[in-house]
Amino acid sequence: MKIFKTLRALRVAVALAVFCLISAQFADVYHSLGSAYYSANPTSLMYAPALLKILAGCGLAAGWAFVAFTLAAFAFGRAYCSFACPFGILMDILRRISILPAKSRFLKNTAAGKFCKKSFSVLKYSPAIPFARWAFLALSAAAIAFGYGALFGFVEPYSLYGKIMGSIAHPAASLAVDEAGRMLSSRGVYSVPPVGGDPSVPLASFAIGAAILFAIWAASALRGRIYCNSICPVGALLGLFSKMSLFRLEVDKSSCVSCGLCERNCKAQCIDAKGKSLDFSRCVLCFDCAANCPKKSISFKFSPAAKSEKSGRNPAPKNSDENPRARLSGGEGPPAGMPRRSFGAALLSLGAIACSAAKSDARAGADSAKDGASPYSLDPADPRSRMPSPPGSKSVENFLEKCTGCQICTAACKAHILKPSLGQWGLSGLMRPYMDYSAGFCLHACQNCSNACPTGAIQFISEDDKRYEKIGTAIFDQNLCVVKTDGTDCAACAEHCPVQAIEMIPFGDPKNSLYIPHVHEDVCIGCGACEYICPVMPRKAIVVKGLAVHRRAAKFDESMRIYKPEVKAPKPSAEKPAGANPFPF
Amino acid sequence: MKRREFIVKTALGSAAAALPFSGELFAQAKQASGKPLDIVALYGATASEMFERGIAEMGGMGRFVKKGDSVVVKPNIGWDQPPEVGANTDPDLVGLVVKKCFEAGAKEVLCFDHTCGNDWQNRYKMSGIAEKVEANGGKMVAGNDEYMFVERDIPRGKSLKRAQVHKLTVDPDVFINIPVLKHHGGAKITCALKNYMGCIYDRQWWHRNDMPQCIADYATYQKTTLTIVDAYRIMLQHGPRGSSPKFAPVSKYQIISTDIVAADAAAVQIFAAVARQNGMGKPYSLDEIKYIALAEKNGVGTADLSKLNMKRISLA
Repeated sequence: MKIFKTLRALRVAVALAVFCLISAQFADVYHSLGSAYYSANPTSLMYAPALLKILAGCGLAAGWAFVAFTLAAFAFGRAYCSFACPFGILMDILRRISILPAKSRFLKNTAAGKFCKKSFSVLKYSPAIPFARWAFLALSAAAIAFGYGALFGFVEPYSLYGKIMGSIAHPAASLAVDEAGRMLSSRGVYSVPPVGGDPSVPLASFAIGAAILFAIWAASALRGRIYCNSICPVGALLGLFSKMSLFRLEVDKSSCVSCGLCERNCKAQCIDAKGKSLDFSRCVLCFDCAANCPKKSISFKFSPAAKSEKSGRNPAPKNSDENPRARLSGGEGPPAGMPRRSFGAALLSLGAIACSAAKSDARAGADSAKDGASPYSLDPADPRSRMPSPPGSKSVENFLEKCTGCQICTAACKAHILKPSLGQWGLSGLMRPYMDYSAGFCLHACQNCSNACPTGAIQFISEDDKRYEKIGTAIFDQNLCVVKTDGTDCAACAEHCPVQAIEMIPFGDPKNSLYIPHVHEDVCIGCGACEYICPVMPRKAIVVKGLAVHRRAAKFDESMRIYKPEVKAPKPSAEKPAGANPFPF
Repeated sequence: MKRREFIVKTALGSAAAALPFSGELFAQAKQASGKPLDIVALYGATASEMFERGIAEMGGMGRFVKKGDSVVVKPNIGWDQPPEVGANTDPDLVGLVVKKCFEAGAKEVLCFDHTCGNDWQNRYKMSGIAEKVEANGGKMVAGNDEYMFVERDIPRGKSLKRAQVHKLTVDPDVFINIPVLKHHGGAKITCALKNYMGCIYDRQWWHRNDMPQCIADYATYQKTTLTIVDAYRIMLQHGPRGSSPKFAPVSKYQIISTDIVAADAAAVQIFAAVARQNGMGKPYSLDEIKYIALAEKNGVGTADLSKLNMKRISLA
C-alpha cells in the first residue's frame, strides 16, 4: 500500500539519520562537536537511558524519550525499535551486509553468494520465546532496582551498541587519523593534526566489543531481530505495551492468499503466512511487510479491545514442530524436559546471585572509606591511590548505580583519560569508565563527558561548577619527591595545577634556594594534572585520592599562602622607569 | 626542502649574514651604531610597536630571514589562559613576527609548542596565537603527540645527551624563539632558554635529571636565529600557569637579541626591577636562575651584557 511504502521510506530515513547522528559522537576524533550538537544531543532519544535519567531524579523532561516512546507503543506499537534504536538499526545494517553477496551480480553465483542465500536471505516465522523475554525483563528491572547499571548495560540495546562503537569504532578511527598524520608529517605536511592523548583501549575491552559485534552479526544474519524479541528488555517492555495499543498491524484473513512474501522478509519473524497472523508484540514496525504485500492485506486496525492475549499466542500450537530449532538458535533454550517457568526462575536467581556477588565485591573496600575516600583502589599497595568518579557524577555510588558502560563518555573525553574498566571498579563495574591519570588529566575547561552521558551517571555540570568540583585530593609524599631525593628544582605539579592548590615552599638550606610542594587540600579538585606530570617513577610522589562524595572546592586566596617572600620596600627614585634609561642594566 | 637545497641555502644565508655590506637595511643598522646590534632593549609601548622599532634597529627582518626560507617560530603557548594573564606570548607580537618573516621573503612560517596538557588545540586557540599566526599566513603545527618528535643526539650535553625533539627543530632555515617573561614555580623565572622545554617530548625526564642542566644542554643543540622576549606583561606570581591578570602588570618591556643567554640575563634583571616596583613576587638575582650560568658555561652565549653591542630605546 502506498501509505506503507511512504512509512517504510520514512522509517529508513529516520533510522539512518538517528544512527549517523549518534555515531557522530563516536566518530568525532577531534572532539569538535560543539554546544549546538550537545544542546540537542541525539542520545537523549535513547529509551532505557531516559528511564535511568528519570530515576536519577533529573525530571521527566530530561527523560522525555521514555515517556514519548511509551505513549507511542500504547498508540501504535514499537516505533522505537526500528526508528530510533541504534542497536536495532545496526542489526538491520549488518543483516543487509550479510545478504549482500546473495544479491550482488558478481557474487551471486560464487560459493559465498550461495552460502549467504541459503543461510541468511530467507527468514521464517518462529514462535515467541516468552520465558527468555520476561526473564531478561525481570533481570533488568532487578538490576536497575538494586543499582547494577553495568549488568543492565550488558542486555540493554543502546549500551551494547555503545560498547561496540566505543571499543572498536572510536579507537580505530582515532588511531587511523593519527597514523595518517604521522605519515604526512614525516613528509613535511602538517595538515592532519594528531587527535591528542592516547585514544587506544585495553585489549580485553576491545575483545568484549568485538564479541558483542560478532554475536549480534551472526544473530541478525541468521535470525533477524532475534535479540530484540528474546533478550532486549526494551523490546520486551514495549512489546508488553503494544499488546494493548490502539492501532495494531493485522493480516486481513479474507484477502490474504498466504503467499509468504511478508513472512520471508519479516526480520522479527513474527508473521505466520500460513496461519495469516501477525504477533504485534514482537513487531518492530519496519513496515517491510505492509509496504510489499501484493494483496494489501496488512494494515493498521483500530482495535482497543483486549484481544491481545490471543494474538500473542495463537500461532504457537500450530508450529510446535519448529520449537526445538527455536530453542537451539535462541541460545537460551531450556534443557530438555525442564519446564519453561523453572528456566525463567533459574535465570532470575542466577541474576540475583550475580547481583549479590557484585555487591559483596563492591563492599570489599568500603571499610577503608571512613575518611570520605572512594572505596576503590587502582594500586592496592599505595593507600593514597583511590579511584575518583568523573565530575558531574556527584558520588562514586551514584556513578556506579547509573552507569551502563555505554562508552560514549570514553569517546567524548578530550584528554582520553576515561578508559573502560576491566576490574578496577570491581566485577560489577566491567566496562564502566574510570579516570586513568597515567594517560592524562581531567581538563579544567572541558565538560564533554557530562554533556555526553545519557543515563544521569554523569550529570550536566556548568563550566563554573566543573572548575571547582572536588572529586579527589592530591596527596603528596615528600620522601618520593625529586626535590628531596635529588636536591633539584622541579615544581612540575605546582605549575600544572589549574587551581593553585599546590604552593612551592622553601625546603632545606636557604642557600640552595630549593622549593618543595605543599598541597592546599581544600583547594585541590583532584583533576590529576599533578599526578600525571609528576616525573617520579614508578610510584608518583603526588597521587590523587578520590572522594566517595564530591563537593565544591575552596577558591585559592592569598591569605592561604604559607610562604610569603619578603619584598624590600621599593626605592622610588632609583627604580621608577622614567626618563632616558628605564632599564635596570 | 631537499638536503642539497638546504645546504646551499644555509651556506648562502650564512655567507650573506657574514658579509658586512650585504643589504640595505643591514647598512642602516650599521650606520646607527657602527656595527650591527646584538641586542635591543625596548620600553614604553605595545609589544607590536616595540617590535616594529626594535627589529628595524636590528637591521630589519631581512637580516635574519632570506627569500625562500622556511621559518619556525616558537612562542610560549603552554597554558589555557587568555593573553591578559601573561601565561603565553602576546598573540599580536607573534602575528607581527610572522608577517615580518613573510615580508622578508619567507616561503613558510610554522609555529608550534608542546603545550602543558593534551588539549593543545584549545591552548592554541585560547592564547589567541593560532588566530594571529593564521591571519598572517603562518601555519600552526601540533606539538604534543610523540610522533611529531624524533630522536637526536645532544653532543655537547652534560646531563641531556639524547632527546626526542620536535621535527620542526631539526635543521630549520630560521628559528625564532618568542618567549614570554614570567614567574615559574620550579625554575623561578622562565624566559628564553626555558621556553625550549616546549621543543622536546619527555619533559618529565628533565625534571628527574637536573632540570637546569638539561635546559642549558638543550640550548647547545637548538639553532636560534633570533630571540624576542615578550615582557609587555610580566607575570610576577603564580607562574607559570597564572591565575589572574592582576598578577601580570603591564610593564611594557621587550628584548630582541641574537644571543639567547644575554636575552635571559637582561630579562631576569627586568623581572627583578618590575617585581620591586610593584611590591609583588620575588626580585630574583641572576645567580638564582641556575640555568643561565650553566648555559653560559656550555658556550651558548654570554650573560655579560657589556660584551654585546646593545641599544636601549624608550618609546615612553
